[in-house]
Amino acid sequence: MAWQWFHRLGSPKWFYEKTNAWMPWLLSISLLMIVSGSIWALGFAPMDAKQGNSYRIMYLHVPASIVAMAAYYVMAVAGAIGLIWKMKLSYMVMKVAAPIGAVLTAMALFTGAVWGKPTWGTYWVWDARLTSVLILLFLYLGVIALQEAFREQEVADKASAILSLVGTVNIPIIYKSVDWWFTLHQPASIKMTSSSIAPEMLYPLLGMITGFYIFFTWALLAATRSEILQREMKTNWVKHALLNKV
Amino acid sequence: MQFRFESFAEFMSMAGHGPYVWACYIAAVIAISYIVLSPMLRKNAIRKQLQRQEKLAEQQAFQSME
Repeated sequence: MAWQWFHRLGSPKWFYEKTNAWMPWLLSISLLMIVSGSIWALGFAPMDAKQGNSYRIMYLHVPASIVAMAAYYVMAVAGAIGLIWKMKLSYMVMKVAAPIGAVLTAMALFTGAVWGKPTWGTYWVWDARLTSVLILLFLYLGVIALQEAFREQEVADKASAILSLVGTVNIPIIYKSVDWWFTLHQPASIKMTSSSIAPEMLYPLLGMITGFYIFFTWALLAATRSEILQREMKTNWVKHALLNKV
Repeated sequence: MQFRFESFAEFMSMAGHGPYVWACYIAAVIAISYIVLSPMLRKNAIRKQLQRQEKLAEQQAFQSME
């Protein structure tokens, strides 16, 4: 009885119908937060005394980096659940997390490089933080490639799940890289206990981080839903849902 | 809370950092648009494929009646 919800959660149809009502809300709230956060960050946050206006890139760089790593956790945990309980829906979540995570990681790397030019005088160095995030991008691309490499979906899912789990070792390395090998990238400015940023700079950043998390939630659900439609295309409920017939 | 720039031109140039800042925000718009549009486009493609299959099935049913 207690496990009933778990089995229901494994049902793609139940998941699709359950999440239906959330989608417009998640998308509009997240876009509203990101757009207003960006306006705040670009025009109303004070200029940084040391870095000048280039620091306004932080409002994209930090949220994109945080959520890019959170997406990796989601992908790896979903892969593990798929391997252990053979839950197909979980594999679908793992599969669709990869391209979203890859785009966010690319965004973190791009904004970091462009921010680096006026701040450090260079777009790229083989600093530990930068290199480990580049590896994160390659892990995402690896999962995408593995999904395409097998004819059998089941084999592709298992292979991607194993790669995701093995790649998890990279996540603590990314976190700790700024402390272990402090070469160029600065350590984290916000921590749970204390923060070294002025409040009027911090609030829009927190808004952007929240907005990016909600946006990622929407993106993950939306991509999972389209993956469900693809894999269950032959069933009656999908035909019913997409062609609006009885 | 106040707007930190004197004019629109200053807002664009951001004291020399404009190109860097705006390049990042444009890239973000492209990345977010891609993430938003791809599941929507995929759903439409699946719907079209289903519609084609339905049509084909109807034609075959019609031909077998003749």
